[in-house]
Amino acid sequence: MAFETQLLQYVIAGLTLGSVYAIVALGYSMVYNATKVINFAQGEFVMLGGLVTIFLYSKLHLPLLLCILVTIPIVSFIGILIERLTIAPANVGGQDREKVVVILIMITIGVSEFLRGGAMLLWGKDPLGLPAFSGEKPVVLLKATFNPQILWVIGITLLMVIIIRFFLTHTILGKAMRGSSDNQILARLMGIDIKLMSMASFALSAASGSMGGILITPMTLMSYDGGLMLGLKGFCAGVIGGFGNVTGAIVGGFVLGLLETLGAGLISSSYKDAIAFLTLLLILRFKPTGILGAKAILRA
Amino acid sequence: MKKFFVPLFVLLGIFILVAPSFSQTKEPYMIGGHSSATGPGAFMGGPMRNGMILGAELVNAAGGIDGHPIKLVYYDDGGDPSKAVLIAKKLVEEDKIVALAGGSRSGNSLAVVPYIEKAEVPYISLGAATAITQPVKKWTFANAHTNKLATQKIIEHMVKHNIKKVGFLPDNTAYGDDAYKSFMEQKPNSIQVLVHETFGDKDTEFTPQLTKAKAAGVDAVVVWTVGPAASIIMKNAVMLGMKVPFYHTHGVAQLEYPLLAGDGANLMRMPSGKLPVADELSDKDPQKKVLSDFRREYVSRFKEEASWLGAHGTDAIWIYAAAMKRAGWPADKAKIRNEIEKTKNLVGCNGIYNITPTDHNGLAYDSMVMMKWEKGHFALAE
Repeated sequence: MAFETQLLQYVIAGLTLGSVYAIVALGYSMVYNATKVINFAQGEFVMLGGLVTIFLYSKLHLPLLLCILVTIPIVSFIGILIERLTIAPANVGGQDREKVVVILIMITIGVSEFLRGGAMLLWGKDPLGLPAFSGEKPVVLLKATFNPQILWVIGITLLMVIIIRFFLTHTILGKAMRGSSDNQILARLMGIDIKLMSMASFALSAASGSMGGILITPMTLMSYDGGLMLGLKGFCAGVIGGFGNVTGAIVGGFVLGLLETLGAGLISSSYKDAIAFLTLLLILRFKPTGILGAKAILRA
Repeated sequence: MKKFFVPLFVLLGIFILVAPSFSQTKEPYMIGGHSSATGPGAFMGGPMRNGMILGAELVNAAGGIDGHPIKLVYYDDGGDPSKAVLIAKKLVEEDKIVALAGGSRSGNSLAVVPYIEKAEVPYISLGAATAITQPVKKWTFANAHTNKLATQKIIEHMVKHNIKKVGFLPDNTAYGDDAYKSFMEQKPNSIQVLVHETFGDKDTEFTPQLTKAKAAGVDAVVVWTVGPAASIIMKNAVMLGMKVPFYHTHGVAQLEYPLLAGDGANLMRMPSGKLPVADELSDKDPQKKVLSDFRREYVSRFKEEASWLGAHGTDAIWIYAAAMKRAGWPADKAKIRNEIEKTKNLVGCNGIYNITPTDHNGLAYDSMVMMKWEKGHFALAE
């Protein structure tokens, strides 16, 4: 196998991983943009997306497309429930916003534990799979071969970024969401229903997370604890790209994914996580706002 | 009224006299069990718990140990080593057990061992790490196939098939590391490891490691991990167009892994106890009947496929039952321990056990066979 082919193979693998991280980072961004909360249950939405689809497909025997179309609203609804039952009661407005945010972040950690435990009881502990969207015949590109599912993953990720960017910058609801993150009191005075914004952001991030889970499950399988690592890596991707920035999420995702696969391929697989986390540390040291981030994450 | 009471007392008397023959009133042998039925490693701990329960039920159904039933007191350690130690203490001090079995995760077993040695209670660990029984500790036994046995089986198969260039991909845990060391120590010079790359057991993308192996032109790949990674690697390998055999650990010898690997399953080879291929064994094999009985009972009791994991739980109880029978009543921990060391030709599910004072594991290399995946089920690989 020629070196160029190997290199291409690493890049394709990196872009695939990167897309997954980007989707998770995107979910973090949306909740962060509306509430300044880092929702650590984000990885669990990915896990639920995969597992709910598996349930509909293998237990109820619905066609795959229908399963996907039903799963996304289900997981969004779970997102709304979580926001209503755990975040909203603790999300009291006032001057001490930062203290409230810290409490809310801790709540999301509890929620993620709860979802993981619940999924273990419902789906068991074994990994489960889904059929690929368009067969399992490898696609050949300049002698490199890859799973056709990868095209779906990268394509839909890019599409989601474009849609979400448009939503946040060009629609009233999107602008209101960003506004309520900037300054809750001011947003309220402008007539923005910040409670509604918080709920909508959870619904949207749950929807995008579940889409991510549906896309990757045919390649990577899914189990009750599959969201944990994805949640962490997606968080890193968000920090690398610039937290709360939609384009930053995808840049961060791709950078992290490529670092991992190129690091594993060209240097050594033992160091691949170390290389990724070292980059994270360097970015936090020299550009704490991330590659595309413009302002500080939490102002003192 | 008096007329009424007399027959009542007579009846009651008869009942008291007859009752003992209805239920076993002989005192039970208290055996403790622990495994990680929840938390990390739950996929192993659950079946192991079932195996122990089944083992006790089978012994009791056959009349117990000289009429004394086994009472299994089981706790779930949740995959947490410190909780496993607390459970062991509770079992010994409160439940007054005379023997302990369990520890699906090697780490949990290793945590329990120092306490067990101090408390002087016989312990059969279900963990696979070589460190559990090497060096030999007085009260600790293990009944799992070690990495050493499994890699030995793989090397034998490689030599037979003239495989010379090997890619070795272990996960980055102690389990993978241990296997790599065992392989390197035992392999002949004719086998060369050209690529040695590790991965995290929660990783989802293995193309870089496989690309390296493919570029090096290996004849076979060894993958050492238990969990989803084992199946995902096979999917990745198919996408890279790899056609060489992939040797996996005996931990992957369960239906779910090849079933989830798609077309990649046909490249999989794994050493294993004989349970998955019990039907293919010759009728002369002493394990054949034991295995088909075990599988039938396990499936009917727990409504799930029987695997080597549950078999280890059952084997541990059988080893105890045989040793306890020889040691006699009343149950004495030291006597039971001494008798375990005299276990000879005990036909279990995962092999024939010969435990000695110098070998506290007791499984020989011929307790394993090499398997492949063919037409949707496990088959013997020549």
